[in-house]
Amino acid sequence: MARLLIPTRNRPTSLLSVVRFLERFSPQASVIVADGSNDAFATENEANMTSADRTIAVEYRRYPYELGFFDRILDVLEGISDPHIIMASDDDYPLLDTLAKAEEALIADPSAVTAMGATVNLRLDAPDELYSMLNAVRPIRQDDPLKRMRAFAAWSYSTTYAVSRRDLLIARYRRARELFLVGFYDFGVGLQECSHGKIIGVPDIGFIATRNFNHSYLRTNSRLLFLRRVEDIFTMRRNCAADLEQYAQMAPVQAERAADHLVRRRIAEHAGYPAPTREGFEHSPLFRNNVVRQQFSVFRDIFRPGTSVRQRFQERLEAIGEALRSASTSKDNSGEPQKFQTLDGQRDGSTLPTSAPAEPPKARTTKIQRTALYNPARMNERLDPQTLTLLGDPLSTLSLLLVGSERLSPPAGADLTSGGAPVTPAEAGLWPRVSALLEARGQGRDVTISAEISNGRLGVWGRGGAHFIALREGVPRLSAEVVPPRFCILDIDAVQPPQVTPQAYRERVGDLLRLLTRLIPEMTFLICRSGRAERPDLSAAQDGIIREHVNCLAGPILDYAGDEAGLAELMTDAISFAMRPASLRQSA
Amino acid sequence: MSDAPLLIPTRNRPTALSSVLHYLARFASDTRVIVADGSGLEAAEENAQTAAELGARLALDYQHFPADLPLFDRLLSVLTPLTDDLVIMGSDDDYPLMETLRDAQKTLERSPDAVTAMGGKLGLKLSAPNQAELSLRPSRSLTQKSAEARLRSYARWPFSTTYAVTRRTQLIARYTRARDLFLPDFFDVAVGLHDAACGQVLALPQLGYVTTRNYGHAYLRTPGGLAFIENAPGILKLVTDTAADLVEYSGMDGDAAQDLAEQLFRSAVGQNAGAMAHEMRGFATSRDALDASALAQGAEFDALLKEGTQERSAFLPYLSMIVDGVQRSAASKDNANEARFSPTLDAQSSAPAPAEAQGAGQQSAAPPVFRTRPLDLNTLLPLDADGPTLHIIAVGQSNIANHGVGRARSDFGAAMLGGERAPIADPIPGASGAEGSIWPRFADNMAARSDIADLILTNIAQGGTSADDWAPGGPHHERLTEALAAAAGRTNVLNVVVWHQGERDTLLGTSRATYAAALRDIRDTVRAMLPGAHIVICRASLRAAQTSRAVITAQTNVALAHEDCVLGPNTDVLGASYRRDGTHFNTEGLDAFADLLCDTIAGLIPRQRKV
Repeated sequence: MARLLIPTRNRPTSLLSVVRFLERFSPQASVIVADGSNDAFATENEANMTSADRTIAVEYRRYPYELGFFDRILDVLEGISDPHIIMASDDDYPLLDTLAKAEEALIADPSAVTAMGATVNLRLDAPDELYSMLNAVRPIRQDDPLKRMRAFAAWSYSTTYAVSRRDLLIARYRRARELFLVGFYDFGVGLQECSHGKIIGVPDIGFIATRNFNHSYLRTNSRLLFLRRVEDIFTMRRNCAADLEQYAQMAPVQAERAADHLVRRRIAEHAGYPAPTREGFEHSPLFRNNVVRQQFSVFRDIFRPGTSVRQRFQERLEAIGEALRSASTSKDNSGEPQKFQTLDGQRDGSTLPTSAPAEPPKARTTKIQRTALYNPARMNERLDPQTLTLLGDPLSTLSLLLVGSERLSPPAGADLTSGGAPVTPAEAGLWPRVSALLEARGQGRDVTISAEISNGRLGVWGRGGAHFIALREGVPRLSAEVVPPRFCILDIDAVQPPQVTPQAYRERVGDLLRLLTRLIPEMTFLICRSGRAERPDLSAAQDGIIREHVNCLAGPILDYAGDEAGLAELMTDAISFAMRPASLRQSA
Repeated sequence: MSDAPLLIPTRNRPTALSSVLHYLARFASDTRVIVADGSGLEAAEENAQTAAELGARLALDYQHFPADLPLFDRLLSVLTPLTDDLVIMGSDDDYPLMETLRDAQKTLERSPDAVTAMGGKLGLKLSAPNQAELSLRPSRSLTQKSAEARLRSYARWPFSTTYAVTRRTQLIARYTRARDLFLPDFFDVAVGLHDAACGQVLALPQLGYVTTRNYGHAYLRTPGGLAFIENAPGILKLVTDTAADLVEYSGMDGDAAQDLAEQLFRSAVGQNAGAMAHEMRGFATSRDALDASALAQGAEFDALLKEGTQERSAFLPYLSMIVDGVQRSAASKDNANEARFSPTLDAQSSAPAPAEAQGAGQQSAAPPVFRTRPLDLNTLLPLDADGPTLHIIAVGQSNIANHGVGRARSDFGAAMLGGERAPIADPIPGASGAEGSIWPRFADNMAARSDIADLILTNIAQGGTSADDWAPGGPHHERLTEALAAAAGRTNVLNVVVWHQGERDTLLGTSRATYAAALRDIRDTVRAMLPGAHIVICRASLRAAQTSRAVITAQTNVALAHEDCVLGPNTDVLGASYRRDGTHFNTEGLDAFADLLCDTIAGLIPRQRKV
């Protein structure tokens, strides 16, 4: 098994946690620690790493804190003869089962230069605010270096936490010593590696990385740092073009043009438009890649109690959670600012006096992008910091907003007009039937319902109408729920007085849809239809609304429901259909 | 208040300018037009001649300026002495829709807090003599009281605010600033942010301009690659200007304003790098996309491109003349010897260009445009189809074959048998029975409710068959595989296999496991032979007033277990009043089943995003 190289700096608590984690879960591990801490922390690290308590092989190397980060790594790499090395870190937890598979694959394929699984990032922003994020890893196996680099740039990822060939790492860090731009480092490294050879992806998690509010990191305060240091961008372009000339045998002009396109992709990503935020990403070959989908599948279940994946990772997650909480209250990085913009700044900060840990930040009200909540390509989750399980699991709780006629028969107490909060249907009626049917289909355990119900005329639902106003005032409360309504069942009766025209009906309902969409943008509407015989014109208008609004799907046609059992069947079918991810519902 | 004048700056495009002026003379001859000409001598002479010719038909004020006077100085020279409060900005290759702009003027006159008002823009791009596309560039209202909120909203989905009715004082401020720093890739966004900082931006629910680009003209734009960030200090200066606007108009403190300005420009940089807001997840349901004006502009765009609409009839004379003007301009000597793209105003005025910088083939880094459709230059209709062809393969027993009450016929789509197309009329060829079916009803319903271009129906359903009969080894399996083989390989076709069967298995008392196994085998066959097809599994077991829980559960479970399967309607819900004999559908039953099936299948059709 390849050795792990852990560079560390001023984080004795965290470093010890990583080593203990390896001792407990990967007793075969062998580690080189390259310490660039200030004297006080280095002394502590040395004692910890050379302690007789260690049960794994730890080679501890202490370096002057003035020595640059990459020089320190290069000193280790150039002084050993291991063919492969696993790059690691003092706050990231390697899963050696996956990394062993990666190494096997790397040995088997001489055209590959690095191999890795996905990384799950845990970010503790405050003592009670923990997020997780997936850094998925796609295999990049094209023979042509330009094709590999293009494939990588389409959706870039960090290739650091991997098993890599040592000569590649030396090339990587020699270049990084000359050029290090926050926000573009991983991208430049990835491109360089693609120019050298193939990247192997393992369909599992290879690392669980952690960040906490107490540690200090290389981050930028400026959103436009890359413009302030635009020369670095052009240096990266030149490096990339040089690689293309060398490894893809491209002519200089073509190489430069290709490099431009690659770097543009990163600028777009960095400016807030990474591939997964694009509409239809889940249809794309980037996500449909088998390895990626399996990594997402593991990520989907790792924080969900009762799943086999959770069971597999349970003990390791408990250990990491404990270590993360402990590091966040430790004296690691004490006295340093939260962010260093450059490696030089970080090195200079090493000598700052040690002080007591700063006051922990208060939880913010940041919400996860809900538009991604029901997406198979979801990459962000909010977790309970104590249990490392999902907060408000949208896959087990189905929250519905009922709007319209009394046929929807909500449970008592769910009415927004009277200030009612969401309720769980427990008695007889339509919704317990729906709930039971959904559970039998494995499509949800709990159903919670909020409602705004009236058999009134169309006017009460249009702009300025009583129920329009009630919804405008009541729905914002719901959007703040941990699991906000995912579907709105909308049943504005088509049996209206003769003077109500289809145009008026569409306009009023359109106003209502726009209001509710504005209040809860990620909600999907199931439009109930009725009056097929009595008011075919208004009933057709209901069909038209479904066709015209991208966030509307067909709800039940109530005329065919018959009794309550029939309505429950039709309603459940409509909800079942809507619960399928859009990527499966519609043709790509 | 008098009508606002239309100010048209021009430079070395006599043919294009002539087209625009003739267009105005024909469609809006009461427009007061000011031409600010910065052309070289030859083109200026031609322009002066055109102005003289049209003098009797148009209130035209032609002003010539030295060719070396920069664009913004020229504009300021015209704007400063004017006394009009409002001015419409134009261009020598863009065609104003004056009715909309007059409405915009009235709206702006009533809105003291607003600085500019406009409709949406239709973009016509002629990239080769026979290659054109039409695109929609919506505008939307930014009527928030706070400047900060307006800027945030604008930056989420920026649009050009140039082609609009704008307060003259705002234009003077705009061009005074632009005179100091002009970055072609960031000009529109910097202007839009400045406008939004100074006041409200009003959008009308209709189109207000047809902007054009052609392969022959020269444009101010960077040549692609990373050129758009080469002047990084310039971009950062724009950021500082925006931060200063935020401090002035929004009362923010300096650090917060700088932070927000960086955020706004970061997004603009991303868009210049090729990431467009409208391509992002959730955009279609964002408040920007649902802006009432933008929605109405989108509806007008759709209607213009659909044969037989009132909107198209009214717009066709305008579009015909505009297309003709653009074609003539592209083939003319407009912008002769100039570089196709110039990154700065200085570079633009330093003609002639080196030979390698000329020519029609050169591409720029122009970002992709929202909603674009290729245009047939003869018919002025879109070249792309409105939607896919839907191919239904109907499999099952009597209730999906021809055993219902009430024959019908549809004019939409075709039934296929042995490669021959026939109308969808009962009895449907290929299926058993000689009476009515759901399919003509379904075809009419789909035509009205979805965006499909065509419907093809292959109906192989046979009365009295069990699930096992269709599974591998069953007597009807070959019928299924033949239909699947015939469907394979067609392009732009959405294949949907509709399974409606179960009544026979109710009679046979088939167990859940047995039924599910047969259905899974059938699904595997479909997946192997026609990958990508959806399989709609209807739930059906009602026979002679009896239902089978085993059959329904098996159908439901198989439908939910596979990504390529979809729950179809549960027709057991349609009870005795929908049946003629307790099993087979009567007319109401056929209508209802067709209606329910249409719901399911319409949900599988990709819908055009309506904005």
